[in-house]
Amino acid sequence: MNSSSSANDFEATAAPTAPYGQTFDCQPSLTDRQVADFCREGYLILPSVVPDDINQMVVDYLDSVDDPVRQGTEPTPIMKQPWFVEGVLKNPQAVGAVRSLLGRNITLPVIISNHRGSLPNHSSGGWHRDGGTIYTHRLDYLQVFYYPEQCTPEMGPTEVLPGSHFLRAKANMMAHYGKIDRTVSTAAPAGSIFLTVYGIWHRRTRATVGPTGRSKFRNLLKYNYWRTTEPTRDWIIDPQFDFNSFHFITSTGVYFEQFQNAFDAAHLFCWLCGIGDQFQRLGGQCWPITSTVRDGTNQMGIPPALRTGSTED
Amino acid sequence: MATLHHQINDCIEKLKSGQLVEDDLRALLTSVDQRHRRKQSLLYIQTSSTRPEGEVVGMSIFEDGKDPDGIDTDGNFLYQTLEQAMDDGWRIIKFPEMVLAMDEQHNYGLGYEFILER
Repeated sequence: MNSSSSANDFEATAAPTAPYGQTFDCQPSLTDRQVADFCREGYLILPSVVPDDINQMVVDYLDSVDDPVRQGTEPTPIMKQPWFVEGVLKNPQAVGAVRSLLGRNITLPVIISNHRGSLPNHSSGGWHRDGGTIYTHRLDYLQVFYYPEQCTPEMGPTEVLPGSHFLRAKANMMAHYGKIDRTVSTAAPAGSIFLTVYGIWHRRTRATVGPTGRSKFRNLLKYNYWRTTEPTRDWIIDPQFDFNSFHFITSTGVYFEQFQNAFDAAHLFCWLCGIGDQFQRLGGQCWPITSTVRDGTNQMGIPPALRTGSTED
Repeated sequence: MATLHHQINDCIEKLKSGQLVEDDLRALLTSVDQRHRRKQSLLYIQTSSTRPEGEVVGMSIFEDGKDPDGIDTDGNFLYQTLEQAMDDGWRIIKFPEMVLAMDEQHNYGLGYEFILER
């Protein structure tokens, strides 16, 4: 395939049916610390995990099916392409992270969206959380994004506000927000995938360059994976990891009542471990805010399964 | 403001010298009308606390010719503090919504938001 490929070219390589919503399993790839980091920040960027040949086929596919005038198309039938399912949706590094967070037998997406941004675009998208967001200490699905081409800072990459998956707001009441301090750009090389908690605050930044790259657009695919099993701590366990000294407070903690986001992140982590019922918010200097405890001391209120010296899984 | 001030001073001087005419006063009236018709501008500043000197964490501005993100050409906030904005002629018209801070368990919106106009 090449940049002049047509939709008919891809029909020839399409499978009879797409694996929409099918379950699959793989090995987890995240450690205790990485899972805790995700609970705290609400996102994880995996740079350059998809091979270049797959990236190029994806771009060609998107160019062949997208009306360049329309934005925000849904090229979901790309899931009929086996190379896309294996190379992107089941990309070992990406689904290893997804598997760590959503447990065994996760589902493949049922919808693929493409945020196909024109270049240049002198206005940024407004800050928002995606429709359907609920605030919860459960993690039953992940919102995943994929750049099939390099997205430089000048091409209008999405930016996210770390920790904002616990910052409550209605999307329509966020529309007047402008620059926010301590945001993180997802500008990344081709083949990068980033995972987010569904309700994280994000926006497209302005694109200051003209048509560039293979596609001449900024393509950003978005899709969801869903959990099918009860949560349990079955990712890569690090016996040396100390839950007492881990810093659950995010870099944007200043936006919250002091320590508030640490409680939320720790609660989510406990739920993922399958010990959500052990989480306590005692108030005062309780777990997880007293992370400067010394000499293997357990913080007050730390769940039994996470205590130093615990033999529980 | 400087132009209007200058016009009034001119009129006073002309009055003293006996040179003030109707056209001078009509021109002054036009300037006053134009000033009153100027579109209201809005500035939103989010800070880390209700203290006006608090750290600015977010900003947006709705004024002709200004970047709505509230940033200068280097990408920095136009004002580092609320006080700097007030020194530049902005007046606070709404203080942070305290009812949103009363919920012990949850946080709402971005920091503490001041709304200013000029």
